Parts: sequence; C-alpha cells; structure tokens
Amino acid sequence: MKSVRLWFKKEGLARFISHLDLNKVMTLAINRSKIPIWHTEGFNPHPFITFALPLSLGFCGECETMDIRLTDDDFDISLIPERLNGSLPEGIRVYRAAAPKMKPAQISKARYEMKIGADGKSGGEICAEIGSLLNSAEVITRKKTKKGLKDIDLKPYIKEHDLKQDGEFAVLNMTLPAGSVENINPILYLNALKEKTGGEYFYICTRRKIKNENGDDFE
Amino acid sequence: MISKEVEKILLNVQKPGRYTGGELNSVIKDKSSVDVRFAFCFPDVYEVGMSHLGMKILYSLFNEREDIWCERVFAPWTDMEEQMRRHSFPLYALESGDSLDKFDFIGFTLQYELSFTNILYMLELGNIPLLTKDRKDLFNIVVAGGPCACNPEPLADFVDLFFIGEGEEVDLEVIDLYKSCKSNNESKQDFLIKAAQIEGVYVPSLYTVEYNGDGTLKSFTPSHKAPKTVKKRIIKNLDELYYPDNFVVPSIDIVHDRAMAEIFRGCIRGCRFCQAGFLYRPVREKSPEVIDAQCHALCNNTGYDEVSLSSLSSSDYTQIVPLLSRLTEWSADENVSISLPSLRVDGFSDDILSKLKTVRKSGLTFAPEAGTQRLRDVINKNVTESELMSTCSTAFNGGWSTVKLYFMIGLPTETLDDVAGIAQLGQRVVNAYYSAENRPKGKSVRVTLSTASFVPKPFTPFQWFPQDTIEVLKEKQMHLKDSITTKKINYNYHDSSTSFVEAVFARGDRRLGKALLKAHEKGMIFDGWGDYFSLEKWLEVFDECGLDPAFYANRQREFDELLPWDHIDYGIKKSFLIEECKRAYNNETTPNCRQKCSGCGAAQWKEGVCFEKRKTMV
Repeated sequence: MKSVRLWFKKEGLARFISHLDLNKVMTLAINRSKIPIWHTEGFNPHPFITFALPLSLGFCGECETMDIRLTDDDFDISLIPERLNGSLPEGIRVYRAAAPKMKPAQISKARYEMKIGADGKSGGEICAEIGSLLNSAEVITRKKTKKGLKDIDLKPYIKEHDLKQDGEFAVLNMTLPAGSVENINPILYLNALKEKTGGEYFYICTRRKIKNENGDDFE
Repeated sequence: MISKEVEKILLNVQKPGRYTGGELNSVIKDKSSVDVRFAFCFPDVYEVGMSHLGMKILYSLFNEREDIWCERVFAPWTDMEEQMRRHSFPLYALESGDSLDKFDFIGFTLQYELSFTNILYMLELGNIPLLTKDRKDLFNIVVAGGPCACNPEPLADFVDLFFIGEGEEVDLEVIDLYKSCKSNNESKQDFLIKAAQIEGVYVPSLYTVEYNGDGTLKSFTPSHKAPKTVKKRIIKNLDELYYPDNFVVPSIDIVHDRAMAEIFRGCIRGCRFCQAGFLYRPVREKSPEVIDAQCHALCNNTGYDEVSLSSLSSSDYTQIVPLLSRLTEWSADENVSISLPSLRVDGFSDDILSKLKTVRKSGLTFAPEAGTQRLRDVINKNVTESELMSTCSTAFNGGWSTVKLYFMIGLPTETLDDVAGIAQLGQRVVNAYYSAENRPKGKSVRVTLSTASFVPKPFTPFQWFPQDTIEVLKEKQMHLKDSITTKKINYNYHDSSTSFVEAVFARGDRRLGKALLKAHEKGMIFDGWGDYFSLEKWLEVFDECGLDPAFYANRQREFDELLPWDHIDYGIKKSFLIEECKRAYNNETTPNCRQKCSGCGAAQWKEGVCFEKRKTMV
C-alpha cells in the first residue's frame, strides 16, 4: 500500500461545491476512473480520501491537496491526474501526483488573494476604504468559535500583505495563519470592512499557497 | 454557462451549488446548431428534481438527437428568488444560463399536486406569460407530462399541451411536428390543432366545458377535430426502449444520489387506493440481462457505488432472483451495493435477503397500509398479518432490529377500531422481535409507524370517495397515538391539511385555475414543503375565488357524474373501476393480474402481463 498526494485546482463555478460535497465528487471520480484506491474496511466500505486543509465554500484554490492510498504498489501514479480529470466536474483539475513529504499538521499559513468589488464603486475607492481599515489601530470583528461568537482583533495577523487596484476591483494579497492550530479566514477582513463602511461587496477569494512554519510550500 | 452577474449573487445564498450547472456529464451544445431548445423544468428544488429518474431518461433521450438541446431548470429556493428579483435576473437553465423565454419548449413534469404553484412561480421568474392565451407565438410552448397529467384540468389555463402516458415516443413526435410547423411559418394555433391529432396529446384549449347548476360538469366538447377522448401512450417493449448509460452526476448532495434502473413498469396488484397501479398498466418487464448491463454501464460511467432497482413493487419482478444473482457477480468486487425499494411484505424471501446482505444493510420498510384484515381487503392490499409477521421474523433473525411500517388513515369504510388496529399490529411486530431466536443480542427493537392521510385520486376505484375532513383525520391520528402503549413504537404522521389541498387539486376541474392564479399573486410557492404551506392562505384563496374546496375534496360523487378527467383514457374501463369500488364496499378482494385477469381493459395493448402464461393455466 502506498500513499499518494494529489494536487488540484478548484476554480470558477466549482468554488460553490462545499467541502463535504467535494469529498463525494472526488469519491465518484475515483470510482469511475478505476484507480486502485484503498477502501475503508468498516461496515460501509468507502474509498479513503483525506484533504489537508478544507477550503471555504465560495473560495477558489490553486494548490489544494488530497491524500489517497493505493492497494497496488506498482501502479504508475503519474497516470492519476489525467484519469481523474476525465471524471471531474467543470472547474476541478488535478495537476500533480507525488508521495507526500509533509504531514497536514505541519501546515501553518496560507496565502490568499481577495478581489473585492462593489456596485457603484471603483477599484480605487475600495482600495482607499481597505487601506483606511488596515491602518486603524485595531481591526475588530466577530469570529465564530466553538464557544460562540467572540470579538477578535485582526490587526496582528496581517503582517504580510499588499493592496492594489485592478480595474473595478481592489486586490488584497495576504498571508494568514492556517491549519489545525490557528486559522484566520480572510473573509473576516471583508466582514470588518462591511461593518466599518456599511456597504455591500462581492469577492473572489483564491487560496494561492499553503505553507509550513518556515514558509516552505506544503509538499 | 451562467453569467458573472449571477456568480456574484451566489455568494449570498445557501447551497449555491444548486444553481451553477457544470456537473459531470451535463450536456453542452452550440445553440446556433440546434433546431429546438427544450427547457426541462422540475417544479421543486435541485436536490429533489435531480433525484427523479424520468427527468434523467428524457434529458438523455432528447440530447441524443443532434437537432435538440435539452437543458435543466429547477425552482430556486426563496433566498435565491429574493436575490434574483432584487437584481432582475430571470430564471435560467443550468446548461446555457439562458432564461426560459429563449426556449422553444418549456416542459414541466407533474409529480405531485402541491407543486402546481411552483409551475406558475417558475414561469413568472422566467419571463413567460402565465396564461396560454397570452402566449401568441409559435415559441415558448408550455408542455407538461407525468402522473398528475392524468387530471390536467386545474392547469388547463396555463399549459398549452399535455402528454398523457409514457413520454419517450410522443414527446419526440410533438417536437418534430413543431419543427415542421416552424419551418412552414404556421401559427401556434395550427400547431396545437395538429398536435391534438397525435395519440397521447391533450390540448385543453380545444375543449369547451359546461357546468350544471350544482357545480358538476355538464359537458366537455372538443373543437377543431380534437379527439373526444385522449388515449394514453405506452411503450410496448422495454428491452428495446432507449435507456441512458450515463446520468448527470450532481456535485452536491441530492435526495437519491445513486444509479437507478427500471426493472418493470406497471403493477400487478391493483391496490384500490393506488393511482400508479392503474395508470401504468399493463405490467411490462425488462429482462435481467438488459437490466444488468444497464446497471453496470451506469456505475462505470457515473462512479456511483449504489444501484437502486426501481419499480412499483420490486418483489413482483418475476426474474428477481436471477437478476440479483447476475448483479452480485460484479457488484461485490466493485464495492457496489444494490438496493431494492418497494419490497412487499409477502415478497421478502430468504433468497432475496441473502443476496441483499452480501453488500450493504439498509433499513427495512414495509407498507401494510391498513391496520386490520378487513380494511386491507377493502383496499385490496392482499397482504395478511401472518405474512407480515413471518417477514418481520425473517428480518429479525437475519440481524435487523428496526422496521418501518407505512399506513394510511382516512381510507373508505375505516372505523376507529381499524385505526387502533395499526397500533396493535405494531405491538405484535415488537412481540415478534422478542420471540425471534436469532435476534441481535442486547439490542432493543424499534418499530416506526407512519401514517399518511388518504387522498382519493382519479383513475382509481376510490375516485368517487369523499376524503375525510381535516378534523376527522386529526381525530384518527390522536386515537392512534393514544392506542400505542410502548416506547418501542414511534409514531409519526403527515399533516392532514396538505392532504386536503392535494385532494382538491387531484380531482379538481378547470375552475381551479383561478385559485392557482390567485395563490400565485399572493406569492404562494413550495406548498409541498412544510415551511411554506399554509392552509389558512389556501382557504383565503378559495374563498376569494368563490370556490368551495369541500366540493372537490369531501363530496361523495355519483357513478353517473361526468368527472373532469373522463375525457382522458388510460385504458382502464370506467365500468371496471365501478365494479372494483362496489367490491371494496363489500370487503371483497380482487386477485392480482398474475393470478387471474380481472378484465380492466389494459389487455387492449396486447402486451406484458395480460399475455403472460399464468401459473394456474400451465
């Protein structure tokens, strides 16, 4: 039995597939492509798939990963991406298969790009609003935790970021804590912005990188 | 592809995956290279509509043709509706993202009466004028089919033409006629008049209706040479019938997310409450080789690891054991499980049980339908209590410890003793568990009793029967609840007020079109969902339209009354239904089609069970 890590993109309309449903989509694709995947041995055997870091509903991802185990050690894993891609819905594409080098628990941060737009506002105006938000002494918003809603200050988390205008959009790139220890969802910044200005925004958020503590890509 | 503008609003709705399209196996064509665009509309949410086998079959069948592009449309949930209205986005089809008013045909499947308001809701959201008479051009033709088309009258004001019976052939004939009328620049009226000549097509606007002083029908008169009665269509040979080897695979979780294969159409039983049992006669089977190949192809092409064998009563399939043997040859190796819904109490043999157990163990559900033998005889549910007990014992000895039993309340001739009989039957099933020697050790038994309220339907021997009033139904529910004395029995029941409105529309006439329109104006949608159904609002609607709902639901009809669906012919003779009705009131049963032909009229098609050799004859 060998473990394989698969990297895939989730873009366009596929960003509206939830994490739970993604598991189903991948299971069906694997069944269909006849990859010799290991099945769990419980009461209801099913293909064993684990995702390193769930992606929020509505987000695109460029370096998402899932791990599977193969029952056939001689199976050529380089065949997997092409086989799976014929069985996946629009917007999900597997582009790499390799033996895993890191454990999902080593994930500590992620890089996001958030394109923010608003009806009736130019990219420049939105940039100005975001700039003023991030320059405040503190950026308070409410975050759902296991113990209920809690106020948090987002200011300390946003060390690495840049902000630029792209036509009608403001584009905010930022690196935030991610993983099982501490996870800050970039949508919180948008929530803070909404609270501050009272305006309505739409966004396309893309997770571009997943990294360990040293800043190395998750491999 | 849906537009970028729609993508923006999807961030603000629950389950946005309902509205995106782009699923595996969905069909994209170049709209400039097709002649006919067909919007297949399911008047409920995506998860319900995508579970429907009929839609899958017709979607694939239409798209096999190069000149047709069939797309899917579902009713948006209210959060999406709000967003669509706020941003003025019309209702669109999932494949192209084009709004309904871009389509040649807008076709609805009529699965249950309480979805009628959603039809108007979808038309309006799609910018289609609601009334047939307001759509003047040979374009945006609104068509409908499915079981509720058997009494099309409540929808007569809105739908241009109905398909009566099985759709696989007649749908394409109508599409071809449309193509030729279109190329000859003919009018919509010309098209409809010609369409009415096709067997299985009903064009309501070609008929005029007159009423008697007491509100009953006086006459039904065709014009433009439309037939006096419209005869249903059936498919004669199911083995040769087109069946898709591929389904659209939803990317989000839906109600029935699995491969499905039809094993036969029709039902031999003739339970007197069951409309499907009469509409789909005669029974026609598919052969095991064909079903096996279809299941295997579907699993391979979709990746599903579950196949459901679909029919009205799976254990009545004569080849069930050979079929299961064939299926289990590959299913276990490929981790595919087989599920067999609609098992009859008397069809649950050790043989079937062991085949099903090789893969996955699902819940057990049986439908005795009534609590006492007398009442089961009235409804012709030819299942005895000892059969139920032996089946439950088999299941308990085979490791099961939960059983669900389905019943109806409000059946003709029912007394409170019959209702209490349901609780007593449940108690005896509990007892059967504790006397089963090989029952799961250390586990308690759970018996769930479920009751639905009986809704009399057209084309059944009970089509003349007055439905119990809501009050009586509630009283019966409480009586049953009080008759249960053990905590091992769970009781749940369906809301009787929805059954009341269902009964109004099931046997309604054209005048109910007004009520649907009024309900639509009041914003009533999703009546099949408890969250949105409101009896109060419906009573208000009927009142404002000057209609008495009790006239439709709770009135005893006479055998000689002209019924709103009498001009629709499902091949079952009215005289047969009258005889069946009389036998019901005498507690007399009728043998099933395999035991003895009871002369219902379905033999006219010279197919299926009517021409099988009966065991008694061999």
